Amino acid sequence: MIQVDNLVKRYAGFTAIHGLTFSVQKGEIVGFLGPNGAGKSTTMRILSCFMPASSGTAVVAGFDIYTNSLEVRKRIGYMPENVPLYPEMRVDEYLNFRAALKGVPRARRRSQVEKVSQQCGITDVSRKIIGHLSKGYRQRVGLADTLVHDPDLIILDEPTIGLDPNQIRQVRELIKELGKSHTILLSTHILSEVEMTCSRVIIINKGRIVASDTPESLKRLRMGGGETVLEVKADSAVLTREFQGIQGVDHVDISPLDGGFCKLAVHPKGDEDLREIAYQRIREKGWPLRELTRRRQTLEDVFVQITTEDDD
Amino acid sequence: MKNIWILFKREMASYFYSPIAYIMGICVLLQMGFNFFTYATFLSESPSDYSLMMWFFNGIFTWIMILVIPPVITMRLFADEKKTGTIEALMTTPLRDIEYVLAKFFSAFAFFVALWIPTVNCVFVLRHFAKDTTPLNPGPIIGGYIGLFLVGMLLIAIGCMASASTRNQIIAAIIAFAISCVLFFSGIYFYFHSTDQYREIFEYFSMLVHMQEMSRGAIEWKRVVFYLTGTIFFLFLTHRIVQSRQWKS
Repeated sequence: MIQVDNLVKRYAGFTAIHGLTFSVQKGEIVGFLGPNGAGKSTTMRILSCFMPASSGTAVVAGFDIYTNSLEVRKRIGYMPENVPLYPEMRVDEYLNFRAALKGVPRARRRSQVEKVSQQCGITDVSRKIIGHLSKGYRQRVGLADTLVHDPDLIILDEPTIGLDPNQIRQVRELIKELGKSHTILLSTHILSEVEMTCSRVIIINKGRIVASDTPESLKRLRMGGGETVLEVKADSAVLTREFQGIQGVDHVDISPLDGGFCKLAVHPKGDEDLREIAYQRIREKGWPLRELTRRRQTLEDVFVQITTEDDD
Repeated sequence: MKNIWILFKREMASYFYSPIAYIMGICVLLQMGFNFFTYATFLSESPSDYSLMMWFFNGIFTWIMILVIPPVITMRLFADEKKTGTIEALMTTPLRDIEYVLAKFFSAFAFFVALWIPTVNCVFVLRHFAKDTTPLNPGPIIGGYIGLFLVGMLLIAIGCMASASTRNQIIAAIIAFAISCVLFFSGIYFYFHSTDQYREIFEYFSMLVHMQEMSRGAIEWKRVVFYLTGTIFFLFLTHRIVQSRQWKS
């Protein structure tokens, strides 16, 4: 669906993206991740034909974005950051206008607008003036607009920014739902969102791709296994000695807690799960135990690690 | 073509969503009504070489309106889309840059025409109360309005260019007003150079001369061509500015 080859964008004085190369297959939901200023929005603007790249090529939906931009634009739905809308128009007027502009035939326009309004949950505000809507509704009007012409590819630039947790959940559900029938490229800061919705993640930093994989394998690849965390009532020196002795343990962090308990973080050398052996040791010794978990690595850890690594 | 119409309808509607349409409409009607009344009273007391229509289209108040209205109705057109980012949503639909520019221009021009059309009434009101039964001479009236719309067309094209070149509406209005004024006042030089060789050049540029002639009922091709080429020139510049987004740096 998207085939990007060595894309470069130079602004006066600095280079926003340096030679991006990636592809997105039909039916994928791909998350575009990166710190502010990494080049996410720039890349999306180029792919949606708003501005050209300085060099490199990209083929979207089978057409070159520079030489055949009208054909590309017919096949994509793009929601810019902050969802610009005309505040003086009514919701249904706006969607009708957008549908007409995107070439939806007059006969199908009304049903199409109704369909996407229902999908995005904005039927109850369809006669309201956009300027009077809350941020969450405006976001959904923007989403309805990107869908109104049934595009092959949907590009969303930070679709959940500025929403409250309930609205974020709704938008996320909507994106998942859409992903069943569309190809989606979305950018976001919210990492848990990517973990939940995307089948693949592309992390970029300073205009370069630093990682591209499924969320699960990214986590495994970059971090190894997670440490096991325990809260045990025993002397800290004894505990340290005991756990250092277990095979496969790299090191142990220990800190005292209330009531004689100690908190241990046992880091494995490899990818091993140390929960079972830790429990056995504690049972042998008869120490009181009140917590035993294995810390799961979040994509946030991976993100922070990857994007700060590059700074050095 | 279809896209121009779609966009034109939205632009026209957006004039009437805001109070701007009504305020400007009232201003034009009040001002021109007062204008007409003043000149009609004046002419009924002291006869003049100038006809009523010539006074009507060439009075100082009329010119203030002609010079002020286009910047005001065009300043929002392009600048606001850039400022709010709606340009990004707009230009990622299958819409050509030229369609975008033309739709904006035609909507502003249509609005300009709509503002002035009601002033035609003045003529009929006068005839009604003066119990004038002589056949109406349509030449000066039609000529005057054609002249007015030609001047308006050029000034609106200048306004479009100004609005496309900035994201600040106020700056757009100031640029448009400045260019319009330079054009207008350079026409006044015609009156200072009554003898020398530049006279003809200044006459060609002088909106004042054009309006006087046309409100006499004399429409010459060279004047129509002047306004058409001027309009096309400024729309061409507007298009290039809009398109500059697509230039590879």
